[in-house]
This record gives sequence, structure tokens and C-alpha cells, in this order.
Amino acid sequence: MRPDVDEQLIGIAHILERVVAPAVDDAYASDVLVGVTAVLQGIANGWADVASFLAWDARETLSLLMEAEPVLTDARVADVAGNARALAAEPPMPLDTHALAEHHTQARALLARVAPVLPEGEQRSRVAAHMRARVERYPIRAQARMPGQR
Amino acid sequence: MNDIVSEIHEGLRAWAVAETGDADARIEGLVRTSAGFSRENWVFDLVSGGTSRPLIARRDPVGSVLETDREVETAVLRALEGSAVPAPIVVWSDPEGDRLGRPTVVMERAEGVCDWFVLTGDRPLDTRVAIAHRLYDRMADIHRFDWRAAGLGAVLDDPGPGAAVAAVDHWEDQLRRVQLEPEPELELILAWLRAHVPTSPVTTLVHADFKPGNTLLTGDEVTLVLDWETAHLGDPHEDLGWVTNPVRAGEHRIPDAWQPDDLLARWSARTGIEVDRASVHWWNVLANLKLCVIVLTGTRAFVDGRLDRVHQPPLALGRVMLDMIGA
Repeated sequence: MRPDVDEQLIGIAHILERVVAPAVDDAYASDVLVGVTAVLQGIANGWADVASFLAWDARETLSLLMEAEPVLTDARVADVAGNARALAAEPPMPLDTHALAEHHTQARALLARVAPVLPEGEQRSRVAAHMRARVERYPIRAQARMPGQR
Repeated sequence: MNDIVSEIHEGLRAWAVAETGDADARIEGLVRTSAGFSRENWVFDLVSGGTSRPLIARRDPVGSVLETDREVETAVLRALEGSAVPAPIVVWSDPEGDRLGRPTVVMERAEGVCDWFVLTGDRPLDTRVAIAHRLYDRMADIHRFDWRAAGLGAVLDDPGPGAAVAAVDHWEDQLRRVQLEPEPELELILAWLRAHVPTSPVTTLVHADFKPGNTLLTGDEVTLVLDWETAHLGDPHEDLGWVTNPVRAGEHRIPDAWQPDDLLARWSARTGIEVDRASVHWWNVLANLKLCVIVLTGTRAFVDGRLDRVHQPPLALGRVMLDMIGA
């Protein structure tokens, strides 16, 4: 499959930079084009890791929620560990990206309910550690540029 | 001239004729500038009665990173006219969007240079420190502004001692309206903010986006404070938390010469208000939550096809906030 997805995305970004950008006189359109090109490059560098990131993040999140069950004493989240177990028992097909995204969203929704009421302690620290770890592993990065940034 | 420029040109010309009474009023040099993430900025010259007047029209975009009210912005700017705070002069205002299809404020276009990174730029150190003094003295002057005497109490809500609660309510409400997916990190931060709300010592006018990039410099003088669209009444610690936010250090600090301690001491001396360090820290966290919601507002507008810029999730800000609250 050539050009593959990486090659097409990177190639389009280069075309925009080399061919289109020099021909754009309008300041606003030129500024927008710089941002679009940066995003295309970011997607090119990271799209292939999106599925594995979603699967890993959901798996870790559900695991943390199940382990947190003894401290989830707040009535508002009493069902969360059980729901996490049910979700973890039916992981999506690894190549079905839409199913992966939906499964990931459901896991994150459970964590969103728990995060505000999780008491300070080991479980909360582990959740916070995972929140930091997923920042490092997030696959798509595009450098935002502020006006006038040197 | 493309369709959108023609449309704006015609709208401005008709508006100019109506406002000036001059049937021959002309719009010249109309250009949309790239500056700003939240408004469309159209610069032009109004030619009428043998004179040319440089103006700027700030029109609400279809989608934005901020959702604000032109009527409130206009009221604040008109209240500030003639005060110690150098703010844009409103020429015409159309908060209903009758003239250009969307709410628009036309202002005088001032001379000056906008430099987001003037404090870390090429000027000598003592000049940059002097500019920092002038910049943040203007911010202190906003907090010294007598908003009651200027009649702003009629158009802005005074949250009183509960300004911090009002701010969390506002940004949580905005988050709920724009979020596309669960945000556990922000839920954790919101819970921390609500558990630690400070009490406001005094109600002042708050700019809410004060930064070098929202000012104009003429030479080394600060001649204008821009972008009043998020101005409101509240706790002056909100602006202090915004400008001392570690994430924005590159804009607001000069290494080894202008740090938060310097800024807070100078601000306190100028305003006569004692700085509450714990409150500044709380507003630092709120500042980053606000930045996250602004990014997510832009994301929502992009996904809905209303914004021309793509934002990635504000993950790094989430990590910063976790560090700030000791999670």
C-alpha cells in the first residue's frame, strides 16, 4: 500500500508548505495554513499509535477502578467498580478503532465520576500517576504557536 | 476582493453612512488581520468629510475559543474612557449583529506594537524591567478603577466575597456546554477548586486576560490595554493568578529580574490591597482550568465546523494542575 498513510500525510503537509503557503497572501489564511500543516504532521507522526493508546488507556483505567473498589464508599460511585469489571470483561476487537474509541470513552466516563470523590491515599495517587502517564503516551502532538512566538 | 471581504466592505460602508450622515463615506484598505484567536479583526480607514480615520472592526466569529458579550465589552470600554487605564475608544457598537451579520464593535485603531514576548525580547534588561513595571502598573490601575462611580454596577454582576465560587461555576458551566468526551482530570481539578475556594477581599474590575500580548507599546511606553471581552467584576487575585501562572512564565517574567514576588509586591504597593498567597495559588489553578476550557471550546467549534484552527487536547495543562494541587 504505497504511498502508505504516513507518506500521504507527510507529503500533503510538504505540498502545503512548499507550494500553497508561498502563494497565500492573506495574513489570516496564511496563519491558518501554518496550523493546518502542523496538525497534519502531528497526525502523520502519531496516527499509527492511536489504537494501541486507546486500548492501553482503557485497560489501565478499568484496572485502577476495580482496584479502587474498597475506597469507593461514596454512594454516587458504588456501581463503578462493577461497571468497570463488566467493561473489562468485553474488550473490543483490537482492529476496530470505532469500538476501541467507544470502549475507551466508557472507561474514561467511569473515571470522571470517580475522580472528584476519590479520597486522598494510595488509590488516588495511582490514578493521578496514570493521568500523568497518559500525557506522555498520547500519540498525536502538534505544536501550538502563539502570535509572535519566537 | 473575495465574497466575504466584499460583504464586510459593504456592511461597513452602509454603517458608516448611517453613523456619519455622509452619503459619500468610504471604506478603504479593508484587511482581515491574523491577530487574535477569539474575534475577527478587520482593519480599515474611514474616509469622510475630507479626513481619513483609522479604525478596527472586531466581529464575533462563527466559532471561537471564547464566548463573550459585545454589549458588556462596549459598556466596560465606554466606562474606562478618560480613566487612568488606556483602553480602546469605541466608535460604533452593534451587539445585535444587524450591521455585519454578527455582533461587532468598531474602535479607533491605535498606533503601537503588540509584542507577546516583549519581556524576554531583545531590549536591554533595565528597559525590559521598566516595561514590566509599566505593564503591571496598568493592571493595578484596572483594579484601582472606581467601577461603581463609572456606573458599571448596572451592567456587570458583583459576585462579592464569592467571586471564586462564581468563577468555578462559570467555567464548569462552559465546560459542560462544550465538552465532547469525559474529562476525569478536569473533574478532579474542579473538586479541588470547590474544596479550597478563597474569599474575595474586595470587588474590582478584572481584565481576565491581561498579558503583554494584549497591550500596545509605543517605544517603551504601554499606550493601550486591549481585549476586554472577558472583563468582569470579581476578585483582583484572579488577574494576579493569571499573570503569575507558571505555564505563562515566558510571557510575564524576566529571568532573575521580574518574578512573581516582584510583581505581587509592586501591585500591592500600588493598589493598597494585601496579597493573599494562598488565593493567588488557587487562581493559578483556576487559570489553567480556564485555559483548558478555552481549548475545549475551540475544539468543539472546530468539530462543529465553526473554527479554522485545530486544537489538541490540553493534556499538558492537566498534568500541571495535578502538580499544583499535589495530586
